[in-house]
Amino acid sequence: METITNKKLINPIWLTLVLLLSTSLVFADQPSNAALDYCKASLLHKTPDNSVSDMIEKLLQNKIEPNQQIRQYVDDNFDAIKIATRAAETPNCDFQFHFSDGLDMQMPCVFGCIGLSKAALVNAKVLEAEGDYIGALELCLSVRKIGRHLNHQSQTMCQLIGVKINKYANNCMQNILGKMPEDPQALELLQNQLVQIDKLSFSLKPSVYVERKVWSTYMTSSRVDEISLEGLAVESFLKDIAKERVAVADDEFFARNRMYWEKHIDTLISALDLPYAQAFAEMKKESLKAANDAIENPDATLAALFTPHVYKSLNTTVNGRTHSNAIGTAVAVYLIKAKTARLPDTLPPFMPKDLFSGKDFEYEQTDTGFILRCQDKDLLKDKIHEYKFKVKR
Amino acid sequence: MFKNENDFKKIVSQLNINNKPNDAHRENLRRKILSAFSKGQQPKTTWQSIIKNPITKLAAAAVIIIAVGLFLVHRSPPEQTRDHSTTEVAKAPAKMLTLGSTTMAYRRGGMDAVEKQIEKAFTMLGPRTTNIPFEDLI
Repeated sequence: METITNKKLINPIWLTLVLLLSTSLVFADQPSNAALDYCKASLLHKTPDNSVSDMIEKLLQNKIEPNQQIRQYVDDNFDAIKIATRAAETPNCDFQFHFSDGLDMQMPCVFGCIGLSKAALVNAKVLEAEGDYIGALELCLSVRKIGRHLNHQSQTMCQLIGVKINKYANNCMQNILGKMPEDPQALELLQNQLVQIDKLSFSLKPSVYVERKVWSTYMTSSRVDEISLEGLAVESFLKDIAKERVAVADDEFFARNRMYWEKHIDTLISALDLPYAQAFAEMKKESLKAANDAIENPDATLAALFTPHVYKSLNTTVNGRTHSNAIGTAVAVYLIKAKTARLPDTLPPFMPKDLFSGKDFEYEQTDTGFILRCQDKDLLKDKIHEYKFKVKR
Repeated sequence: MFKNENDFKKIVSQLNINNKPNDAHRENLRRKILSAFSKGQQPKTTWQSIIKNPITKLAAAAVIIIAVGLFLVHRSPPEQTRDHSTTEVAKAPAKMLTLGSTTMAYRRGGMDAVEKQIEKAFTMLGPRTTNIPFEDLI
């Protein structure tokens, strides 16, 4: 009797459990991919015409105020901005690059992020003009998060676009910080957000490994002609040497060139572990070495043509990240001002660093606010960067 | 105009018409005529035969047109193979957005060059459909 009763109960219990589990699965959040939403938003983004595009550039450089056409552009892109900023909050972003396509690989959604970011920042400028500084800063933070998504893809162009997007957002934030009323709570939230965004470490290494592989696939007799010499940014004498050698090249030539190429890239990658100035010098030296070697050594021919000039990518990323660090440091200074009604005499401890020198920024008070200055030069542009911040009196 | 025929005769007789035969003039004219005849009867050269024959004229014109056409064909750029240059002339927008194309643009002009190329490509791609009325789908 007892066994029959137990058996009768088991089936309903199982059925109930299955129903509950299925119901919870239906309503559970599915893991989402921000890249998909960036693609959706890109499709919705209304590209501005030339005149509006010029206005947008000037607006983002703080040279003009928002006008009717700019406001219309924001209205037209309301949905695109909404989807993009929502995507920026998603932890996961995978553009699912088809690296097997080599140099033919398409990345339209990555490139579309530039337009989307600008649209969001134009919206931020409109809010700033209307006095909604918090709303404006939230949009700037969203753009920084889009930039972060791109910075952490294993593809150099993608990372560089992320840096560019961050630069636009940082310029916008720099302007807003100088105008907004002192609000310790808002500044603390902003500071926490920036720390979260910049928490993940950044590296060019994975991207350079990918480049090593992609370009190597073109170093064969069947594929080398797919690379047009005309498009390469190298000296014309190198192109002439390469043309002559490739015309009579055999499989042995390409095999030796691939070996030289791999060693060349490995040297560049190992230099990425060094502090900026050393890394820059080592990489530039290695790029020039390949070009010099190619004159006498046929094995260096293709490396001299295809070298990725990683020292330029390094410079761009260090420049961009240093600007982001300057913004983080400035927010800490504004917070002190908001709490104590005066600017600090020195920077607080544990501030984000100037990546050109690896040290804290130089801090100087001025009549209108303060300046954060790098302690070492940008070796590519041969200048010392400084970031000016205004303080509302 | 004339009241009678006699008046007409009188006027005509007063006209100073030289109707006397002129041997020198006659001889000169005879020579000219004979000369013109003899020119017409001279044998044609080959070149004259060709350029005067309508069929050969047509054939010559066809040869010239074909020669010019071949010249123009050989001078035009070769059929586009898959390449990764970044020349902007007549580039399809999709070609401007490849990894290779944007990488070359970066190496030549930095991120500013990449941004310009991307902007141009998206402008060429034009507006996308974001809304279709329900009636169009039925």
